[in-house]
Amino acid sequence: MKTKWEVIVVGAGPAGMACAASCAEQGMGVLVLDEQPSPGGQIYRNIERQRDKVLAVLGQEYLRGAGLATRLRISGAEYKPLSKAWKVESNGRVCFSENGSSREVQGKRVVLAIGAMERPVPFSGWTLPGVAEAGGVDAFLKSDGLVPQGPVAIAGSGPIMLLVAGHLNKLGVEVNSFFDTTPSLSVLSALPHLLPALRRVDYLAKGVAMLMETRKSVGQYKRGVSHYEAVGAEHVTAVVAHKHGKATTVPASTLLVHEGIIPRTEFTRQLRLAHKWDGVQRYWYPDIDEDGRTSLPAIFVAGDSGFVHGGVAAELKGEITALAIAAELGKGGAFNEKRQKSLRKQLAHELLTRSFVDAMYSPRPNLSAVDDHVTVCRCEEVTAKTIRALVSSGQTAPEQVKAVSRCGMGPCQGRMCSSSLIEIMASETGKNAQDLPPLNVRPPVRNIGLGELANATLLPHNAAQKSSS
Amino acid sequence: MKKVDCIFIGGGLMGLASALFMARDGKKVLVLDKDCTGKHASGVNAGGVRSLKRDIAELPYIHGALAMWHNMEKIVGSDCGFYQTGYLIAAEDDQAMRELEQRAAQTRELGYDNEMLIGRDRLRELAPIVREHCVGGIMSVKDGHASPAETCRAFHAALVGAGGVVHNHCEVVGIDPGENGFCVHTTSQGKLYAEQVVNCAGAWAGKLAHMIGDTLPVEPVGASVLVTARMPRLLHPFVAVQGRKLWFNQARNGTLLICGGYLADVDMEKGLTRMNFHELQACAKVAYDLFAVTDDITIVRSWAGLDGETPDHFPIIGYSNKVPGLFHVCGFSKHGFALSPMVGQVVSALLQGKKPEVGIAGFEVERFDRVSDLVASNPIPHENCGNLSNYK
Amino acid sequence: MFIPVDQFEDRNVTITIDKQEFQVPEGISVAAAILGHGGHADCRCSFVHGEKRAPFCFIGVCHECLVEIDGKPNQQACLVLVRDGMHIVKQQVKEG
Ligand SMILES: Cc1cc2nc3c(=O)[nH]c(=O)nc-3n(C[C@H](O)[C@H](O)[C@H](O)COP(=O)(O)OP(=O)(O)OC[C@H]3O[C@@H](n4cnc5c(N)ncnc54)[C@H](O)[C@@H]3O)c2cc1C
Ligand code: FES
Repeated sequence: MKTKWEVIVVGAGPAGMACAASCAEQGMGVLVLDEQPSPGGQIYRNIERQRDKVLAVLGQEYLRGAGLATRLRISGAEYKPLSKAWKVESNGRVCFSENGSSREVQGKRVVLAIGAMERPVPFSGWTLPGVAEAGGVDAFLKSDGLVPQGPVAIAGSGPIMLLVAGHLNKLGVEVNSFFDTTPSLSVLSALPHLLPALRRVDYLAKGVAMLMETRKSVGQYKRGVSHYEAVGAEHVTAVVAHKHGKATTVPASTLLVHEGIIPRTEFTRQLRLAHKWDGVQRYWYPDIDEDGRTSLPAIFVAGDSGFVHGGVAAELKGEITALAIAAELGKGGAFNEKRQKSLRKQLAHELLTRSFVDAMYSPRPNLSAVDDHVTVCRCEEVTAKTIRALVSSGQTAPEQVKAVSRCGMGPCQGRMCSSSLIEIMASETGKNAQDLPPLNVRPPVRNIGLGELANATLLPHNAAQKSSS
Repeated sequence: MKKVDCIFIGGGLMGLASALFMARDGKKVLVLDKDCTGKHASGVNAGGVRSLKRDIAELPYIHGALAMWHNMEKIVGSDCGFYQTGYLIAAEDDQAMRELEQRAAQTRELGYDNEMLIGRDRLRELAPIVREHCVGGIMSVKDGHASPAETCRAFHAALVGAGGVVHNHCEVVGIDPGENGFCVHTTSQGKLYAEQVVNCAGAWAGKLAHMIGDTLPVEPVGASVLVTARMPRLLHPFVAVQGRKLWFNQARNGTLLICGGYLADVDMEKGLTRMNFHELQACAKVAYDLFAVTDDITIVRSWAGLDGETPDHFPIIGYSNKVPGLFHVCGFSKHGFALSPMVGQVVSALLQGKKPEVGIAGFEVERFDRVSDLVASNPIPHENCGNLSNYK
Repeated sequence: MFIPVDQFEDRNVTITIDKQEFQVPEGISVAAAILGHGGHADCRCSFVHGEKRAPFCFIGVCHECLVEIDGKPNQQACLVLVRDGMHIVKQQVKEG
């Protein structure tokens, strides 16, 4: 395999696929790395060989990915599935692990298109088997043709919940309760954003239809739920929803949760790039320009890992980044400027509803109101109580709390707990979450074997170029 | 602003411990840190408390310190996560074994009886993961492992409890020596006054000395550690192999810490380290050579920290010979964590004009005046520590 | 526990989960084999308290799906595909 590439794209979701295909079509040597077995990312997962029954449920929007995947396949880009990137350097070097062995490759440009993840929000019982993230279970359905065993309860907030409920319902899974935690006040704060959103009536109408359908199809639909719990000894057996201080208990074999989507920033943080805080959706996102450029000339970010805007926008952003890179590397064709303009227009149109939806489904205000006994760090089993005790004993920096409590030190490398750690610390100290420095990310950003590291093929150390770990 | 007895610049363990013991003697002390206490070397090191094969010059310190580590609960109200693991160095062949025998004889002669030779069978028993070719080794049972973060937290809390004051996010940007002590200029606390000033600024000690018109041969150095996923219990002691650059230990929680003085890239402009995977790969290769289970080992994370290093890898402890009233405690060259409680006691005594429990002969800064040009061109070889003390 | 949406006809890959043999369809993930075909509801025990844990995110971030595959621990079941002859063991590493 070649070591040097013009463009290395990490992630083969809509942004990565569009970016890689476009770059390759313009004559650049492109390498695409993705840890999934086939292109598509989370939204179009397994698009190339989907089961008919699942396809029928996922519908038109999912099919959009088929064109993209085909485009990637024939573009001439080298696509490597089941390949996990675990280090990105500021000079465009990427280390990745494939089938238990690691190597380093060099790109003139690296595009980070690693997408987003569901916001992990701890609650009592969330570590029990049978509790899972709703969007993740939908992805599991796409890749493996499996649905959770009913009765299923769904809890949380956000459009994805409705979507998943719809999919399961159509596949005959018993969804007996739907606990919506979207604060009713959100509607008010979303109103100012309604006007631009109205230009996408199609989108809004779809949302309303989805909501109506879900309400009809699920056993019980409860609005205004403040928080929820999973109950069980070795597996979830029931779910408790709290509303106005009153608790409702329903039997459940599965609890699916969803609390919105946040960008995956592990590489931009590993590179110590500047990040900005989004006060509405409460997450950090890398500081990039409209082409996805970061402050490092070799590093670009495309798609939801730059800011969560959804699949169609991600595709457009990937394409926009590709054109910007083509221009920088002197590959752009005569029409690129025009294309860029039209893509920007399409993206703007796509984003019309976004502020409305973001405001409508902003995270509930009690994210940090986790009971003391609740495990915050799933890997190291650190409770909210431990974190609070450390804060009150004078530990005011998240890194300090991590070092003493081991919160964030396990195999997931803090992915599941760092945002809640910050939220809890913020509320304990009375600070704003954005004033607490997020946890450091050091490579390997993915777990690798010791033997694998010993035998990895690394590029010679270039002393002149500072590594960025 | 009232004048204090002593200002410690640097809230690592050297500063915290020295200030703590002085505060307990009723002195007014201030600890300043540009970041926060324990942010650098003292809070992020590998936690190794080793007397085994420590340099002869440091033996009085480490033995004093060991006694303290075993008694931390009483000293600072927390065990600092210290527990006895023992340290073990294996020999790969007879030649290496002979070197270890010589070392054991040497320390015994000096009156220390903690270093014991062990045979092949005992080695197998204590560290079954060491590859089969190893013939024996040397061991010190009293040594152990502590939690650096918890140690810093506990010393900070104890210091505050003893009446000391700590200012975090308070960078020292200038120091004026005067007739009656020092005026220290800071970013967040304005001017502060003290009778004496202690430079315990770790990786920044050279820079700080320069600020006061002194020179110190202390350079920043980045050291790195690999950490694995939890594993079933494989070994209790810290294990090294004679002549190889590697330390290996399994923490109480089951994770392995693998290090050996492998360097991280240093960016002093931003005051941070970046992992250097050529170094970490070298580390992994040695581990792969020497330990039998390496295929099962999963690396979960890596980290690095900044320490200050001197040309001969010995610390600098003592008054400046250029600026009266200025005291240096720095240059611990990647192995100061274990010594820190004892260093604190010694420094506190010296600052109060008392006779310390152990002397500082060999650690004074003057040694570099005498050999300064020699050092610059030709670093002193490090005979006694058998090249291990600068790994840790 | 998970249930297949289809009757899979081509169960032509043989694996073992905790020493028990299963025939599963080609191309599915190890997580799917455990949860959907192996009759298990969990895949490992937690490090500190030994609680049962199961895949949570299904996209490779939570590391709750760690299993031992062919003797190698800490493999993410949601990101590895089954292979004929594969031995999967629910991971039981605990502190201490
Ligand atoms: C990765 C690693 C592993 C190690 N492993 C071991 C081990 O296993 N066993 C062992 O015994 N030793 C080990 N060491 C060495 C040990 O950690 C250090 O020698 C020791 O902690 C040094 O303590 P210190 O107080 O001198 O420095 P530090 O802890 O670095 O403290 C110095 C402080 O000074 C502050 N400062 C600097 N300039 C200013 C200024 N102008 N104004 C205000 N504040 C300032 C800094 O912010 C810093 O907090 C290791 C070191 C590292 C990096
Ligand atoms: S289920 Fe979350 S990483 Fe596999």
